Amino acid sequence: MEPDKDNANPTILNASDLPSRRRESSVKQREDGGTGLFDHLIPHYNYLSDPFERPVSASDSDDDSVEDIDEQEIYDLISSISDPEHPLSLGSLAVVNLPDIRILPPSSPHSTISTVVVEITPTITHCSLATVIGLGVRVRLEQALPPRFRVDVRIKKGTHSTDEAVNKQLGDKERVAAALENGTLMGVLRKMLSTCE
Amino acid sequence: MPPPQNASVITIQPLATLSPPCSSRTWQSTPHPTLPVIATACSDRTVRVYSLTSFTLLHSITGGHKRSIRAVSWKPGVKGQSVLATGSFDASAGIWRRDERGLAEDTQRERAGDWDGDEEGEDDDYQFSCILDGHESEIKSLSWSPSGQYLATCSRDKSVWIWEELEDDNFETIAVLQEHEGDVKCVAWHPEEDLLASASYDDTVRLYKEDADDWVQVAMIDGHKKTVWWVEFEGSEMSARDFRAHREGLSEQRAHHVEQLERSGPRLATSSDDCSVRIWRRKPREGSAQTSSRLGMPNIIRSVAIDEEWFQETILPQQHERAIYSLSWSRRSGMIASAGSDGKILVYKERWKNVMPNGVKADGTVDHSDSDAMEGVENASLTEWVVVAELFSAHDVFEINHVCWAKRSDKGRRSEDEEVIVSTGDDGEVKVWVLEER
Amino acid sequence: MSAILSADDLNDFISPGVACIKPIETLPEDKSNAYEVTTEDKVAASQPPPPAQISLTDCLACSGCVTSAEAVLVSLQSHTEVLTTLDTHRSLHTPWLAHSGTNGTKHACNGTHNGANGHHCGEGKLFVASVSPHTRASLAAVFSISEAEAGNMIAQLLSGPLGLKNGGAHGSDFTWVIDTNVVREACLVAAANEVVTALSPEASSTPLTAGSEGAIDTTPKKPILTSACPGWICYAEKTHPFLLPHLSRLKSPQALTGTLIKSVLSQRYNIPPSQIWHLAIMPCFDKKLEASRSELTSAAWLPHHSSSQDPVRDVDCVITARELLHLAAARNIAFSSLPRTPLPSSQRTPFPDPKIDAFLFPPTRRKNKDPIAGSSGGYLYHILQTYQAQHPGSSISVSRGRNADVVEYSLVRNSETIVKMARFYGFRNIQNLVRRLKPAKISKMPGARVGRSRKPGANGAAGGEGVKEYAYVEVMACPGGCTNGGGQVKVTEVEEVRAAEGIKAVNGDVVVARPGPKEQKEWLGRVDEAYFSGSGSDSEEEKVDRDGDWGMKDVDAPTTNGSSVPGADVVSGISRTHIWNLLSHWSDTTGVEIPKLLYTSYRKVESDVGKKKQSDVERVAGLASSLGGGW
Repeated sequence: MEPDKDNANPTILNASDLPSRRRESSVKQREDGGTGLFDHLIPHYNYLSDPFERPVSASDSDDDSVEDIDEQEIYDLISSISDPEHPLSLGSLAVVNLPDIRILPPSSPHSTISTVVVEITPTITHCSLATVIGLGVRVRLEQALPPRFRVDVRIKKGTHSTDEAVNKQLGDKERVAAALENGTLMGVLRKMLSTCE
Repeated sequence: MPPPQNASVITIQPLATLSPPCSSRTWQSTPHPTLPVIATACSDRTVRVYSLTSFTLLHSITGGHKRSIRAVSWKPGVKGQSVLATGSFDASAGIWRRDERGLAEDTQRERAGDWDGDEEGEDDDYQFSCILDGHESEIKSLSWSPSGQYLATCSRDKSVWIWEELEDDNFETIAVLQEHEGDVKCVAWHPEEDLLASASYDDTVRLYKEDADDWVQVAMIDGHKKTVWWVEFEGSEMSARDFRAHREGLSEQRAHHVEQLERSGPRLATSSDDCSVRIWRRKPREGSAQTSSRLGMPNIIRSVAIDEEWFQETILPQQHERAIYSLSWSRRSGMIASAGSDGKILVYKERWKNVMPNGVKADGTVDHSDSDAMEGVENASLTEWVVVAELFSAHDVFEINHVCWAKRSDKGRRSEDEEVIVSTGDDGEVKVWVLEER
Repeated sequence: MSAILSADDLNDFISPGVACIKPIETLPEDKSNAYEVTTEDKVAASQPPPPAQISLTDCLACSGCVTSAEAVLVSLQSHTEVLTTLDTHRSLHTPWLAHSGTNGTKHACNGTHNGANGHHCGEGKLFVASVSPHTRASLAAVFSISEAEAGNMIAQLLSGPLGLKNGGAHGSDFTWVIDTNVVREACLVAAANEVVTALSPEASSTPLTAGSEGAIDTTPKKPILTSACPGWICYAEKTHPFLLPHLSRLKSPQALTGTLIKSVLSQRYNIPPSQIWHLAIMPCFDKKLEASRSELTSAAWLPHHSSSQDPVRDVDCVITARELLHLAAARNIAFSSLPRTPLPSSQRTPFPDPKIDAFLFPPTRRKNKDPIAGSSGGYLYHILQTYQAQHPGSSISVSRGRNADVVEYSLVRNSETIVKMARFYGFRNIQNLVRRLKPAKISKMPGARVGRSRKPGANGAAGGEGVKEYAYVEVMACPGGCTNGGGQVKVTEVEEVRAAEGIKAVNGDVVVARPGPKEQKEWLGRVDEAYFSGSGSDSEEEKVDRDGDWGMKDVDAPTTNGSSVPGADVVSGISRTHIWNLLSHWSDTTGVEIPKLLYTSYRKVESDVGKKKQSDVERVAGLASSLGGGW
């Protein structure tokens, strides 16, 4: 299906030039006994203490781990995702770039919710797979990060003809949830994510 | 951030978590119109019916839907049985029935403390009775009209459908409304009129009415900056129950305001991805039906245009930081609860604002809000909404997909009409909260 | 359905590469100005594009982006396409005379190719237009004239001395302007024949072989559903294939006109179908989809069609009333200033076959006089009247359903109901029809616990028996029928159109700032009035029918319809013998069997097209990028 590729000749970065941290990731894929990708998306948090038994607004000592996850960590999680069209990673295609990742801390001491903002750069401005790539990034992060992270995946401004529409779609929880129940879409996502450790 | 200066005079206290919880995301919980049970739409393709008396699972409705169940709605006004409509990502809606005598028994047995879930026989269960299909993609919300005559469904296919049940299980499509330009997220009925509202991904809310056999859009509400996730009407005749109930000694201005509100009828509340909750009000029509009927005059002039004009009355204090997926307008107290992606539950209350007669606030600033939209309706800013309670991390770090008021039915109930808040989250849990006055 | 597609929205719909999984760069380059969209940035950079590959099947099949793909197809048939074609090709007015060398219009063409779709530069074409009565009614309402006058003005534009002939590169114009009402008479007779035959006891159900549902040689199942509405056909094929065995096999008047012209001229007069350019002016955008169907091409009727030949469409282009006005405006012709009188018959080019000429150009105009027949061609009513003619003493009873777009007709004699039919217009009513025709199996939820008291299959089928009793159901996608088609001038546009033509609001017209549903209804009423109008400048027209009294409960057996003997030949002014004679003549002339000329076929459109050849990624690209965002 070569001729149908949206971008047959993308710019490819050398893997050794990509930013990476050569150490064990502090985030691991959750082990919840699920088998399929979809199972990972179902949040299980049985080991958490009953929220009723702790001060609702307290920032617990559990939250020390907050500092452990930084932009590089996020980058490492998503740069190894494969492009749906090319046998290349999103990192080497410069679809995801370290400077385009931001972690926003909880907005109030009452909250434990942090936000990860990832801006992706599609290889061409009309890439029809932009929503799929974005979905892959969102799924990967929701899978790998603790649930206290909200994941916002956006198209970097000016890099896609319909970036606002794509952003809106990627930000819509309900549509993302429904997309993950689509077998064909999940097949492609699974393949994209199979190259992640 | 310090606690809101509006001084949370009320705290939201946990009462119970419905048990056992679902192991995956739960979307919405809808209390039964008459019985102390609540139905929860789950992403594992089931509906769980829990008791609001014992907070335990009574029934699990399984089979049927091929994908997540997104929404549930109980048919009101049914005698002898319970009728539940389910809307699913598989693009279909299901109708389920259960003999109510059995349900009454459940409640008795349960009260007697010998409820045993394993005993449930087939007759006891919710039985599938019919499927409504026609939507092209995921159903996002559904709602029975207050009379039970109509069922509205809406979908990602951008359409809103109205179904009428002619006789048991014989549904007819009476309208396919394709006004929205995006995903339709939520549908809601006016409590008194056959007026339907729908909220959408296209950032608008639209209202529909029947005009000589045809349902047509009668108003479009354009104000939110992002997806409108939820739409809900105020209860019927709330002026007798909320802050307006105390009429003694009201200034002329306030009395006039109350009268104007009554002429407008129940208001509309919406919540959005733009982190705001907004209240909308219908502009009363000159010589409108309400007025003329009250004056005992025959309403011979059929409204030339059935178009309605809705204007933004106010924006509630903006204390949500992410998308607000749901809100609920208490039918008892007129308070609004909201919840969403930031995991917070907020409760708002409307009260008279301390305003000088000429529109100058007590602090000396002049209030110009909505003066354009207000022609014919004097000062809308006579009242204000304040946050009376705020709860962080109601479902730990998870998002809250739905929040609603329900009648309190457990043993600890303090009054006949005490209400609880029920929240439904991504953690699969449905939690019940009580309001405690400080 | 139909209202979705509107030329004005096209630019919103088409966003190539995002909107359509079929890469847009495979569209022919030379068409790129037919729709003003930004094409993908790499189109320019890529090597010369392969020939156009988008077929109707490709496009309808990915359910996610149907609308955008349809929009692409639709955009290829526009008034600009008409102008381009007129500018590219000289008109050949009487090419059948050219062989003897007596005709000067056969000009020299050096045969250079411009490579565009195999069109020869400057090759002459015989331009033929067919005009629906609904389009005339729409224009009549806009300009406050009679439907006949609107028809005359259209003819003046397309063929007259003040019309298109005056401009363009070659002064090309249309040789014939055919009223589709004329061809519809053949459709009505054939429709009645199809129903009567299919439901006769002799036509004991021939078992359908797998996959033959909807095939040309199978007999439709009761209730037989109208096939003239392309929006409805498209919907049935895409989403409810179980309906296909019920569809009437009959071509629509638009399609039949195309087949008639092209088959006779090519088989008898040696004018290849590709040299005939047939434009249809229709009330509805979906007619463009119909024109694009691969079933409606020369491949279906050419006796010796070989796969190496490119099939030629029976209808080359469809435009709507609004687009017709754009067409006039593009040539600086004020439509409203065109003469309202017919073109002089002396200037008329007769169709070379005298019998067909007499059929296509009858001395008196055909009217749609009877509102009881509905605004969509009157299929049901004609079939019903055919039954009535076979049952002397019977009467037609009409009852309105839950809304104005559901009407039940029955033919009764004494207390006996001979036949029942119904009309279902509009998407919501179609839903109810479809649900009741749905096999019980499909309407069950697998795995769901079904109440013991409830019979399986009973769900949704309550009242279903009623629907299954109908012999015939006239189905149209638009509420209000074809006069309310998506391509008609809308109430919101009337003022704009009038202003553009320099016309003031006419008597009694209140200019409403923002026309609402009520105004739309009133406007539709006026279009209907024009459609059914018997009055007008030409009062000498034959009165085909007695007055229909809309809203009357019982209609007496018509006495004017010839003798009320069984099998009466003339039904509603149309002689069956006459029509069958003509069809036989057509068949003899072309050497093609009548069924091949009259009927067409339908097929289930798979939701995952080209499963075999398509990769997951492509399918996902389709899912991901359809309109409104996809997934």
